[in-house]
Amino acid sequence: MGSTFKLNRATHRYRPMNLSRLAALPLSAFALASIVACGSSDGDDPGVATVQLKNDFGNPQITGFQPPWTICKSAYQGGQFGKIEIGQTSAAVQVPAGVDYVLMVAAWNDPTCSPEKSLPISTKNVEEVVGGQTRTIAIGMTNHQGPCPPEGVPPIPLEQYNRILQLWPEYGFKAYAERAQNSQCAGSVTTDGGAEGGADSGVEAGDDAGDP
Amino acid sequence: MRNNALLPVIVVGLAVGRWGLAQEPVPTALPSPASSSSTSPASSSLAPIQVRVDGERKQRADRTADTVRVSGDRLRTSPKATLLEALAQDAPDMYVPSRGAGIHGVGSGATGGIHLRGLGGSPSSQVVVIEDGTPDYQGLFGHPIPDAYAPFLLDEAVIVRGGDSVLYGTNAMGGAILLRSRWRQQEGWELENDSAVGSYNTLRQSAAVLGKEGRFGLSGGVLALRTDGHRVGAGGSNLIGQFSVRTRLGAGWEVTLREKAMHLTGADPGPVTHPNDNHFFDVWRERASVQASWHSDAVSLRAQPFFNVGRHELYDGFRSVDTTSGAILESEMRLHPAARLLVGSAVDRADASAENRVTGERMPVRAQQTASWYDQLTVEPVKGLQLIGGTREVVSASYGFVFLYKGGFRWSLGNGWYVRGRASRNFRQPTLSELYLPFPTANPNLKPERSLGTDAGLGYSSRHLELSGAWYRNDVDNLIKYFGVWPAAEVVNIDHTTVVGLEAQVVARDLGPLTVRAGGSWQDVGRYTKQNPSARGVFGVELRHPMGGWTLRSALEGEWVHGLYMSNYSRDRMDDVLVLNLAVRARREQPDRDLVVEPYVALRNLLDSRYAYVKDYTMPGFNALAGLRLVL
Repeated sequence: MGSTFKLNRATHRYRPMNLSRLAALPLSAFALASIVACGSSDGDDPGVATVQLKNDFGNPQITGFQPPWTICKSAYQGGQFGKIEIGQTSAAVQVPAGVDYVLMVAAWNDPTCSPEKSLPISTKNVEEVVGGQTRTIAIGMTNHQGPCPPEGVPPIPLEQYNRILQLWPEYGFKAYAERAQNSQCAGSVTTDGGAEGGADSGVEAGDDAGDP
Repeated sequence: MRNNALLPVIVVGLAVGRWGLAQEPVPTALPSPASSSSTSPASSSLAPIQVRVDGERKQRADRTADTVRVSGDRLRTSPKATLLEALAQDAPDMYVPSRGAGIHGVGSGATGGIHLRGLGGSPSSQVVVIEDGTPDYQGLFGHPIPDAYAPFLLDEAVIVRGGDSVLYGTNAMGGAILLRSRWRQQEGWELENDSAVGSYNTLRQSAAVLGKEGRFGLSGGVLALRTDGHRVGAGGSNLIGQFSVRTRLGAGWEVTLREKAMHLTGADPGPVTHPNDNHFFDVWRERASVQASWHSDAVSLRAQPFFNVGRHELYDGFRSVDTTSGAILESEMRLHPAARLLVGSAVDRADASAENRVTGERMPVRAQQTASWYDQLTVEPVKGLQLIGGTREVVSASYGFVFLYKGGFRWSLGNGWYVRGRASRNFRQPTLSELYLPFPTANPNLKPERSLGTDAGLGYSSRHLELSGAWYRNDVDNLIKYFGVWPAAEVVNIDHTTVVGLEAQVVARDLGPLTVRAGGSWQDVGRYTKQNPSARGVFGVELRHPMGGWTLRSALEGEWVHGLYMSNYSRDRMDDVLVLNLAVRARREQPDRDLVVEPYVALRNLLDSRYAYVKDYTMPGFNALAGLRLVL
């Protein structure tokens, strides 16, 4: 078989340990113990970010139809941001760093936010803030989704819908299975329900190398 | 595009406040047999051949770095479909995703991003590729092109883990991949032809010529690969040609000219759930460099200007022409039998033009250029102990001054045992895309990302057994991150992340006809979990067995990937990947005819697993590639 298996036993004979080995072994053990001990990653505290929400449904950079949503209620990462009219920005709120959807109740072409004109909407993607960051999250045509979208557009997922219902039960929105029966959905042929196609950044898309 | 891309070549002459350029460390782990170019075809014995380590390479060594060296021969015989995937088989802390059999692609849906110790990836601009001494990255997007690398003319590849921006400059945060093309060492000529056909109408053809006549050396070749791919839209073609000529002028001088050109085509097939229709890419790239070097007993000097240009076109109308250019001037001096000093200077410039072919819109991009000076002092105060320290000072008109440093040690304890450790401050400059392109936004005021990489390890090396293990930690600041979507998106320097990991490898070599390799890594990447797996294992069994006038060589390799997510914050988890590949080669040497005949077959995904590295970009089932290699 032509084996070349020849373990070199000469290298295994006894040799007196020299000083450098004596010194190095405890040093190595100490070094490894030290670095493993301090080797924790980010830690449990994600930090705090300062966030504002902007109602960006009137952004002039978007050509074509703009849904006239007034944001009546809004929440992100446990912080409440309140009512935000088109073109306005909320007060700054400190929230834990992390990722979450911006959850909202929005009224269609109704700055008074009457319940019959209102629907649950959220951002299309999760929004992220990191510790120490000051960020204004704009909610607009390209990054929102709602319960009664135009045909062929995926609706707001169940989880976000139910969270909105829990946050603001006073609006009396219907259960998820009947979301298209909410009065604003059923009562208007002009609503977009919160989700039309639009440019997406692709930042969260499934690409890997990603760039050309 | 501005046409003053040669400016760095001129500037380098003025920038010699200190000399300099970078360097390739001597391997510290997993040495492999040398490439066949080290010997003539007829004299290529079956026993492992010592890699030629010339004086130049010895002098540049940073032996405190955690490196893996893989021979070109081993990469050429790998059953993996691409060079970077084959390279990752020998480094468990290096992860390279794929989406098919041989084509990584560019743009949306591309794979091949290099992840090293939790950094890099999407795009892989936190890992730098140094090809024949010069950095290789796309000028506009700042990352290497995975399909640009092929092993057919490769002498060896070295993975420098843990980053080293002191020696390699920008992007060397997670590490550096050093690729060196091969030369013939003996007088005479060598022709090599490799033809293969495989599943999915895959055809691969490479031809190479290596020659040495007196003072002159030549190395050149062409690789053509085309495939239909395992699903509609996954096909493509790579055409890569390169040649190098060098001459020894006497008195220690040597001049080398290198040229490489490629044409890459293909498409993003899209997710299997929503396939794309002809989302094609078309890439032309060309790179050239001239290296003049001089060596004496105590001093070596190298000057190497380089130029890299590419044109990228995408289905959606995007077209760019980018250039990277620069020059490196480096000298190493032996100050004392136990002390060496490396000093260098480098200038580089990235420039591009980009337009939308559909609308005619041209995007405003400004060139970015830097100058840097670096030094590295190596001392051996006692036999077996090597200490290294180095600094790099980077000056840029766009982001100012950056100071980098490193320090490390390696202590040979005797009987093959060693301990090592290193810390290095590294950086990545913003790409032109991040600075200027509205995809979805840009910020011309971005600053470089910075990291502090530390690692320490213990190892053992003997003829038959190699063990190594390392702990590593990367602390990254000033991360460049995108937030939001167009038209309200923003890209800013913000956030800090820490990656902590462990890596270990074992190689039991030449146990009779067998060599067994195994390695594993675990890492905590914090919230940056997107395509950044928490654990990875690699293993392989190689058999080398003579049968009559033939030598049978086979390699069974496996990869296991665990903790793979499609999003940060541990969202969108993917199933674990477990894939086995097998390569079988029979080699017959006919010295009387000066001929080597080597038929082979690569069997990929032996278990016919259904798996994917990228969500909904499923990998091929069982597939095969069979070929014949001839060396004259």
